[in-house]
Amino acid sequence: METGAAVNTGHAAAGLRRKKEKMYITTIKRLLKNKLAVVGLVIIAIQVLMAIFAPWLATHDPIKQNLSAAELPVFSDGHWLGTDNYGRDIWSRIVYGARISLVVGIVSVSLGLIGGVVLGLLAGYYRKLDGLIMRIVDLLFAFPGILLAMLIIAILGTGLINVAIAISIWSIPTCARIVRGSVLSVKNREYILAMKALGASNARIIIKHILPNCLAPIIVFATMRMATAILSAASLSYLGLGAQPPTPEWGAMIAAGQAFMWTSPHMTVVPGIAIMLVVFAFNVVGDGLRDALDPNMDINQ
Amino acid sequence: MAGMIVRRFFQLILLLVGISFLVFTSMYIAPGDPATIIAGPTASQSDIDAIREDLGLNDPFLVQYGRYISGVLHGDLGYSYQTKQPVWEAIMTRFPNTLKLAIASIIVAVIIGVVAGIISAIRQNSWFDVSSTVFALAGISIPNFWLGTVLILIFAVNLQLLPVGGLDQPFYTAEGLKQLVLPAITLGTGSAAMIARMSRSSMLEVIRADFIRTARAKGLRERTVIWVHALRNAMIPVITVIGLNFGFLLGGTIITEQVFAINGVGRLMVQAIAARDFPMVQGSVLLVATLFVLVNLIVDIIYTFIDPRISYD
Repeated sequence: METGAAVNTGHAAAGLRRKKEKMYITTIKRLLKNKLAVVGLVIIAIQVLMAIFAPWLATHDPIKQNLSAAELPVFSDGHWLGTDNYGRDIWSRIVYGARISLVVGIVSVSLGLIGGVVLGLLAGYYRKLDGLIMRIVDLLFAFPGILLAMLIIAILGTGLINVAIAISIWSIPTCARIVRGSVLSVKNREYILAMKALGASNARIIIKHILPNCLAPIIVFATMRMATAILSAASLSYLGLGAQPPTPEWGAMIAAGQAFMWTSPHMTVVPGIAIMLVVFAFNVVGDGLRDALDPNMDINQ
Repeated sequence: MAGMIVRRFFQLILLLVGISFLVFTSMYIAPGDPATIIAGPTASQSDIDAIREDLGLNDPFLVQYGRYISGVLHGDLGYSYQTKQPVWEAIMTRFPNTLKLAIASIIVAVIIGVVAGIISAIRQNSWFDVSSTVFALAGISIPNFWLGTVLILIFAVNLQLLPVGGLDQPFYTAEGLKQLVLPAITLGTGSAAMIARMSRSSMLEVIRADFIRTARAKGLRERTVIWVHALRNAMIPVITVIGLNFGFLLGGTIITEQVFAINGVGRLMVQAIAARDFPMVQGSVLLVATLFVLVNLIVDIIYTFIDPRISYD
C-alpha cells in the first residue's frame, strides 16, 4: 500500500497523518448520522457539564439538612425536584451525584483498561504467557455479573473508592480477551514481520504498531463499559456497599428513598431516571461507535 | 461427543479448584483476624490465642486451604462469625428462593425476548421493530433495583394488586405466584432485552438463507417457514445468550432479593459482606460461582446437540 514510504519517508508520514485524520473525521461523521448516538452524546455532554459546574448549578448545599422543608414534592418553590426526608434539595444532590458517577465510571474504566490492555497485549504477543494469562482470565470469568466486584469489596471493605477498584478488576478479563483477539489478528501480518526483520524491539512493535490496531475495539469496549461501571457502582451503593450517607450518590439516594415510597415517590424516581439516562447514553454511543468504526458497514467503500 | 463431555468435565474440576483457591485466598488476605472476630470485643489475648490454635489459623496457608477443601467436599463450609450457624445450612435454607427467582426470571426473559426478537425480525423496520429496539436498549440501561422499586410503587402501593415483597409461599399457590411476578419481571427485563436483540439479528440472518427460500418455493405456509424452519436455526446463538444470562441472573438475584426483601443467598451475601462474616461470604460466593460454571457447561453440551455442525473435538 505505502510503496512511496521507502522512497520518501517524510512525504509518506505526512500522507499517513492526513489519512488518519480523515479516518477520525469519517468515524465522527458516521457517528453523527446515528440519531440515537447523537441523543446519547448530548446526555453525556450534559452529565459532564453538570459534573464540572456542580457548585454553580446546584441551588443548595447537597448535604445540608433542613427539616422544616422535608419531603417537598417536585416543582416546589425553590426546589424544582423537591426535597428528601431531611429537607435536602434533590436537584442539588442529582447535580453532585453526576460528578460522583462520572468520576467513579472514569476511574474504574481507566484502571480496568490499563490492566486489561497490558494483559491482553502480553497474552496475544508472547505465546509463552498466553496460556497462563488466559487461564487467569477464564477463572475471573467464572464469577457471574457483579459477584466478582462483591468478592473484592469483601476483601477491601465498603466505600466508593473500593467500589471503583472492584469494578475495574471486574473489567479486566473482558478487556484482556478483546485485546488479545485483536493482537492475534494482526501479529502475523507482513508489516509486523517487516518491523521484526528491521530489528525493531518487541516493546516498540507492541506499542507503536500493534496497539494502534487494537484501538477501535478498545474504544467501543471502554464506552460500553462506562455504562456497566456506572450502573454497577450505583447498584453496589444501593446495596449499602458503596457510597455511605450523606454522600449524594444516585444509587444510595434510591435506597434511602425506598422507605418513603408511600409519601415521597420522587425520592426514588428522580435518581433512577438520572442513572437510566446516563447508562442508556453510554450504551447507545458505544453501539454507534462500533458501527462507525466498522469499515464493513460503509457502503461507499 | 462422549470424549468432549469427559474432557469438559475435567476442565470443570480444574476451574472449580481455581475458584475455590481464589475465594479462599481472598478471604485469607482480607484484613481482620478471624480469631479476634469470633472471640468478641471482651476476650483476653489468651482466649484469642486459644481460638487461633483451635481453628488451626497458625497452620501454613496451604494446609488451611486443604482443610477448607476437604470440609467443602463433606458439605462443611465452616461456621458463620455472626450467627454461629453452619454456613452450609444457612445457604441451603435460602437457596430455594434464589433458584425460584432465577428460574422464574429466565422464563419471563426467554418468552418476552424470543417473541419480541422474532416479530422484530419478520417485520423489520416496522413500528413494532423500532419500538422493541428502543425498549431493548432501555431494558439494558434500567437499573433493576430501580425498576423493582417503581414496579412496587405502581402495582403494590398504588394499585395494590401484588404483594410488596417476600417469597415465603410455595410457588404453586396463587399467593406464591403473585409474590414471584414483580421480582421475576424486575430481574428478567435486562435479559429479555439482550435475548430480544440476539434473536432479532440471528433471525434476520437466517431468513435470508437459501434453505428458507427453498422452503417458501416448495409452497410451505409462511407460518411453517418461520416458526419451524427458520426458528430452529435462529435459536442456536440465542441458546448461548440464554445460558449466559441464566448465570448473570444468579448474580442479579443479589440486588433483586434486596429490593423485594426476599430471603435468598444474595441477601445473605450482602449482609455477610457488610458484617465481614468471611465464612459466609466464602460459602455463598463459592456456591454461586460453581452454579454459574455448571450452567455454562450444560449450555455447551446442549449446543452440540442442537447443532451437529459444532464440535469441540
